[in-house]
Amino acid sequence: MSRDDLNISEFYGRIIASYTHEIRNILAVIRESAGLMQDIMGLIPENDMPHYDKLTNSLAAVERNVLRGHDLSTRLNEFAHSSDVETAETDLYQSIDMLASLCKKIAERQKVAIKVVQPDQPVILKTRPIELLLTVFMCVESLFSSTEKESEISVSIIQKDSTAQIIFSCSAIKPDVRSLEDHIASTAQWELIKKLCLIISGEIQIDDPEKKLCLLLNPGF
Amino acid sequence: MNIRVLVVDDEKDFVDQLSQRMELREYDVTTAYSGEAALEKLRSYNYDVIILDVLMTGMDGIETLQEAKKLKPLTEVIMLTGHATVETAIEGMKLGAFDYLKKPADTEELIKKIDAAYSRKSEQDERIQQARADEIIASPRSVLRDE
Repeated sequence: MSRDDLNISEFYGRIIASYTHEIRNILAVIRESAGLMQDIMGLIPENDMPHYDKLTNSLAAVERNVLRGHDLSTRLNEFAHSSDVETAETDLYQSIDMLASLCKKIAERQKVAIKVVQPDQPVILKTRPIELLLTVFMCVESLFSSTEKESEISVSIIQKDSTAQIIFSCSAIKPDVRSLEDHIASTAQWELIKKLCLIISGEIQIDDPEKKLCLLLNPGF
Repeated sequence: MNIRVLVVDDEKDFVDQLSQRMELREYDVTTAYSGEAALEKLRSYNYDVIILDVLMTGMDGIETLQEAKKLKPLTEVIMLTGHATVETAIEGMKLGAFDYLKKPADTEELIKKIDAAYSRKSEQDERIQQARADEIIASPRSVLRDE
C-alpha cells in the first residue's frame, strides 16, 4: 500500500479535524451561556427563585457534558491528525490510549472493556501512525469474538531495546474458544492484520497458552 | 476605573455570552466580530486587555495581534485557541501576546489571566510615566522639546 492509496484517510482526517474545531466553538458557546445563567442565578436570593435546585442541577449537567464533549472532540481531533504525516515519532501509550477512548462505545456494544496499561517509561517509536492505529484496532476487534462478556481486553506496551511490543490479552476467554489460533487465524481480518504488519515493519504472533496477541514493532523508518 | 477589555471572535454568540458574563464582573467590555473591526475600535479607544480568537475568517488572530501591537504596544493580548491552533497561540506569545487559553475556556481562569495581564500593563504604564517624570526633573526643557 503506497501513500497515494491513503488519500481517503487524509481526506477524512482533514474534514474531521476541521469540524472538531467547530465543535469546540459550539461547546464554548454552550458553556458561556450556561455560565451566564449561573452568574445571574447567583445574583438572585435562592428563596426568591422557584425551582432553584432543578435549575442548578440542570446547569451542572450542561457543564459536565460540555467537558465530556470537549474531551471527546480533543481525542477525535488527535485521531484526525494521525493521518497528517506518513511517518512520525509516536508515543505508543498516548496514541493507543486515544484510540481506546474513541473505541469505548464499540467495545461496550460487545460488552467488553478496553484497558490500556501505561508503561513506566514512554515508549516512542518512529512509525506510520494511521496504519499502526488501524492495526491495533483490528487486533482488539479480532479478540472481541473470543472474549467473555463483561470482561476486559488489556493492551500493554513494552520496550525491548530498539523494538517495541504491544500485547493484547483477554481477562477471560469464552469457554467454547479452545484455541485463539483456530478462532482468529483463519479469518480474513487476520490476513489484513498481517498485511498491515508488513507496512508498519511489524509482526503479529498468537500466544495461545497465554491467550494473548503480540504485535512486535521494529524501527523500520 | 474598570478594566477595559476588547473581546474579538467571529463566533458572535460566544462573544455576546462571554461579554455579558464579564460585565457582571464589572469589566468594561467592548466586542468585535472580526480582526478588522477590532483594529478599527483599537484606533479610536484604549483598551487594557484584548481577548483574541486565533482562528477567525478574514484577518486571523496572528495578523490582528501584529497590527494591534503596532497600534497599541502596551495593550495586553490573550489568545483563545482551538485544537490545532495551540502552536499558533505560542507563535502569538513570541509576537508579544501575554498568554493563551484553550476553548472552551474556564471563565474563572480567563478572569485570572485578564487580571494578570492588566497588572503587567499597569506596571509598564507606571514605569513609562516614571521615566517621563524623571526626564522632566532632569531636564525641564525636555517638555518644550517634546511639544
